[in-house]
Amino acid sequence: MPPLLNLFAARTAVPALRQSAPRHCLASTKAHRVHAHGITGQQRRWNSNSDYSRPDGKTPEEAQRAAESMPHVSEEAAEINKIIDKEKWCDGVPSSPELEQGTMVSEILSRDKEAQKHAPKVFQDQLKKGPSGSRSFSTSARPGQGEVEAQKDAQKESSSASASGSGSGSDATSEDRASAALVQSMITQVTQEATAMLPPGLKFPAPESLPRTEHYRKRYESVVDQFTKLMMRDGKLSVAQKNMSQILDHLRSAPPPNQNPRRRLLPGPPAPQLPLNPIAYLTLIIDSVAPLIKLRNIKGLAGGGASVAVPVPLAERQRRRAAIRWIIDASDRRRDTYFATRVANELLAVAEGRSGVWEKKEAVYKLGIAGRAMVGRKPRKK
Amino acid sequence: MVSPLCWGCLTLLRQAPRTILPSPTAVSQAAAFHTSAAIYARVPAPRGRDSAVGYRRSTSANIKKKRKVSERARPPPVGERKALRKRIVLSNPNALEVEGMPELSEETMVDSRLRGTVVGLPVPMLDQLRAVQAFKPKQGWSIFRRPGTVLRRETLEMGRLFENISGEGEDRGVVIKRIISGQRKSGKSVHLLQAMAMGFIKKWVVFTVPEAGELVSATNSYAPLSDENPHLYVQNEATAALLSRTAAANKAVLSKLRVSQHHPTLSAAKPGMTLEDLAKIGVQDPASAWTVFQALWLELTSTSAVPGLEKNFTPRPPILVTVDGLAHWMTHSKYRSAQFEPIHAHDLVFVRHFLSLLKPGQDKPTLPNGGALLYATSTTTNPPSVYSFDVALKQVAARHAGVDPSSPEFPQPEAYSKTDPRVFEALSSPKPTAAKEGMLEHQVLGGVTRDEARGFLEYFARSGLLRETINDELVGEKWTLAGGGVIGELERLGRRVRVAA
Amino acid sequence: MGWQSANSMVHALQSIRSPRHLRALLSRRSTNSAHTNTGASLSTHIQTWNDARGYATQVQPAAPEINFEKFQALPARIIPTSPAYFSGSPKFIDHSLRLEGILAKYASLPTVPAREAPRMAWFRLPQFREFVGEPIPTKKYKGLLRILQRLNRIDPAITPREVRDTLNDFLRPGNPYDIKLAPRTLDELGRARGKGKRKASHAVVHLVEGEGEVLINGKSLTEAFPRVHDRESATWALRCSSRLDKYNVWARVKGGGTTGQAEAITLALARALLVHEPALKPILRRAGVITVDPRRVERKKPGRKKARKMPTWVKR
Repeated sequence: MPPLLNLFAARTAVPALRQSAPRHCLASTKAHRVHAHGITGQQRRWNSNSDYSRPDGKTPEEAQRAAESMPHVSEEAAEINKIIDKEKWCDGVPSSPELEQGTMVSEILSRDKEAQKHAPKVFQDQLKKGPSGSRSFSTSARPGQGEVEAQKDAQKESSSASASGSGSGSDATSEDRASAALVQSMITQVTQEATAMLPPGLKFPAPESLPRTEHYRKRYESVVDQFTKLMMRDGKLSVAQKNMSQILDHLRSAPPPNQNPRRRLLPGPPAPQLPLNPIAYLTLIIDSVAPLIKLRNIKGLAGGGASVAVPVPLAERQRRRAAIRWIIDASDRRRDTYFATRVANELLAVAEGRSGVWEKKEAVYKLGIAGRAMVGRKPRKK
Repeated sequence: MVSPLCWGCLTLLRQAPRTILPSPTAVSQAAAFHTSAAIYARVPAPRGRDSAVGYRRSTSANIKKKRKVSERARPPPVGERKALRKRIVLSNPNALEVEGMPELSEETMVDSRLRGTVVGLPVPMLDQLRAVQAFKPKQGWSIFRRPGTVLRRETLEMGRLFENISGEGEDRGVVIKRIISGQRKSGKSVHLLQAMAMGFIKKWVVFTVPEAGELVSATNSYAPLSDENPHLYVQNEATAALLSRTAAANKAVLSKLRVSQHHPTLSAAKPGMTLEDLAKIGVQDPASAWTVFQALWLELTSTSAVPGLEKNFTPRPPILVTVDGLAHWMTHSKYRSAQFEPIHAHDLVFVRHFLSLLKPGQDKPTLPNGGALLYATSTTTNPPSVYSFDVALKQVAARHAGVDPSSPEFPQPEAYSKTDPRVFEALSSPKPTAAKEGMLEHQVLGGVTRDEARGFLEYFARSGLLRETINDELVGEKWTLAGGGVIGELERLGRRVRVAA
Repeated sequence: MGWQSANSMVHALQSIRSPRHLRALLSRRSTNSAHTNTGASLSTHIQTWNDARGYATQVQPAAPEINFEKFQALPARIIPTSPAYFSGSPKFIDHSLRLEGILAKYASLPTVPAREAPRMAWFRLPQFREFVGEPIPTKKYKGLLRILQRLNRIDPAITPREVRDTLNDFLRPGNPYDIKLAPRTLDELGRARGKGKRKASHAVVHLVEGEGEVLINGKSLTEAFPRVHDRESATWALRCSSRLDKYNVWARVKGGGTTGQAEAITLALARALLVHEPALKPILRRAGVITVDPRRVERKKPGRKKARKMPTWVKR
């Protein structure tokens, strides 16, 4: 297995299970449960954590085999609990494949000839050799292949089960049915145990706590919500939301920004990864042009009736509001057909440092610096 | 004028000498006793503007608002908006490449183990699919690395039918006829797309009508067919467009087939020329497009050559015909006859030809070389709601289920409802006599199952678009929110981002 | 000295003439806590209390009338029992001082968070005004309530008797939080029923255990609510408790627009879910789905274009 280059966490290479889940054309849900363990195997792929480097010193092969055979009942219950309890975004484990697994180094090397030259010798040798055939398991799976292996496993398992029982069972379907019944009984046992432990007044296990975004009035990310409501005209929220989703789709499919060295975005994920997380992208753009201050004209500070512009600090939400207003105003001067495209293109222009919004911010800062002597002074009373 | 009679009355009453009576001109200045005198009344002078407020008139200020000077740029050039609306983007370079994604091929289209997985459309086929306008702008192709479709139960079932029709078994050359309907976003058009892709894989000839509504919306030129049938109308440009789509998409197949029938009406059709060239005659000369189309259809549905042209004949492949938006064809079109009466859609020869295919053939199947007719209703193109069509579809389903049309269970339109007999006539296809011809069916597309939904959502996750853990809970949630697994809604939910992951 | 001023005399005489007196309880309480430095000779108790109601507008006596007949010899100075006698609202001040004193005494006792303290139905402001018989401003009463709530937060296990007794004096009669509604139950077919309203819509939801089917007015979820936001709102109670694939929903909703209908279903669904699983209440509360939104459209008024908008008008 080629090593993985994880850009986010310098964890040890995870022997993630790259087998895709066996997918049957399943006639009944009962039959579906036979392969439930196979599916959890795949879930683990998304959730996988550094704790997969097993303390008992099993090789990845053994670990995989263990994952494919049924784990102990309590073990599985614990596993299920872990999966259920884990909320999607608050567990700190990135749940997208490129974040979790990173990009394969060999992939990068195969694209980049220059880097190939400077790569460690081990990699070079590996590249020359191509995929080695010595491993007993495959690290890249085609769906059909996983299917076949899963079937083999199921047969093995059921034959061992039937060996302890009647000892016959050359018929594959009857074996399947026997193993299905076995697994079914185990599952019902586990669910019974789980329900037995529930507190009174609950029929199913309930989440312990709710993250902030599970409140149904605050279900959107705060930046997205603010942006949407600032785009809203005549109280038409659903139109604004439609525009917002178009903007996010546009950010997602536009090429990653070439940053202007003079007008950089705030530090964040590297540019090529931005489009895959459009909300983070949007937040980054807005926060990068959000002004820290605004100018307030106060009369009578410098004596006489003349008003003086005095910088006033802004809170986070106010800063974002100023930036969003500037972006929407600047987008009005674009020639694209749809409002959503105009705003999205303006956002991209901000990301690449081409937009006039940057100049607005700089102008505010310049005036703020000019008027900083007056900060904190109170107007003279007559 | 003062009437003399009244003057008489007055003189009688007053008994005054005639000389005292005022002259008629003097009366008008005196108090108007008689109503007629009002004519002489002076027109009241117009009063001042300030007191002009009438009864129940608004007293509100009539202040002119200042016109806001907008800084908007000029609108985009003509045609750009439409181009943008119709633009089809099939790739998003930012999305992750899905590893080990199978391609749609002869094997995968019948492999029931792949049910619920997303298969990629082969890259060389994309041009063909674009040529037949299989992709629609809002089907969400633009956020993935490459176009792919889910293999759902209906797809695999269709794949098996296609396999049998092309194969060597007893089902070879069978004709299937289906009307596909279903609720909004249930994947009817994509189902047609999958059929087209399978047709291209199996080297069938694919005829498509991607927008049935465009044929009846009076946006194409039309003319009476001939002097003999003044009530039938031909749309040459639409036919030429159909020929051009067909020729471009089926180039590989049509360029190997040669003209092997006599075409007395078409002098340009030389025996031995390829069918692709034949179709191109119609594209270049729209005036002859309909004749060319008839010639092409005759060639493709022939089972043997006429005597003398045997050397040009090769067995014809099966034909796939897809129509999207069938409901548009079930009512009056927007065209008008010379008497300015609306023309029924069934009087357009183009429409009439494709609807006549639904009927069983007289002595041989409508498609003698086998094939499929897939006519879908559409919900995105703002179709008319035709009551007769709804009832007729129920009748089609009942007839296919074996309900006798004379029995009381057979669905009938409500009494006193306005129905269109031509619609019932067009869709009432009795059981065909030819063995190889299937009966007209009505297929309703519903939601996908949870397993299929899971495969679809996993594809989103593996493309890096859905940044959540795919587990049973999430799949169940999306399945319910999609109204029971309606595939288009699942797609919407899959791309929706609520919180930053 | 105030006592000798003419106004005070008028005040006192008026109070003597007035047949209304304080309620026995209150006066006893206030005298208990009042200074008693004037000695027993200056007993100000009057035995003929009647329990008539007083009105805040009427001037009430700050202390019972002094019976000069009882005195053997007239004192040089007559000092009232309460130091607040000469203030505008002596009884209220007495109460405040007493509560502050108790609070100072027991300030060091451990407290519990506000939501765990026992729920108490304090006097409402009009009731309290009636109770003390003095025109109390809103703001001052709020201050008093703050002390009461602070005292109430003392850990119920170790609350001193004095505190509890004092707090009980400020409860309005008939504890509304004692009324326990009969818990709703499932019907014989296992259905739970919940009702909800929002804007102009109202919804009735029947909830049964199932596998995640939703029918709204006989239509599927997508047909009833084309907008994803509304669909999410309607099923939020099940979603946030991860029960979307464990129940079937059958809803009837009428009136209003799509948003109102969706959110009426939210509330009805959450209430029906509570019938099935009462222990879910804290989670649903945190998800905001059992909080009633009582806002309705403001009515249009005559002389206005809309609820608030005035017709434009210029002088000439």
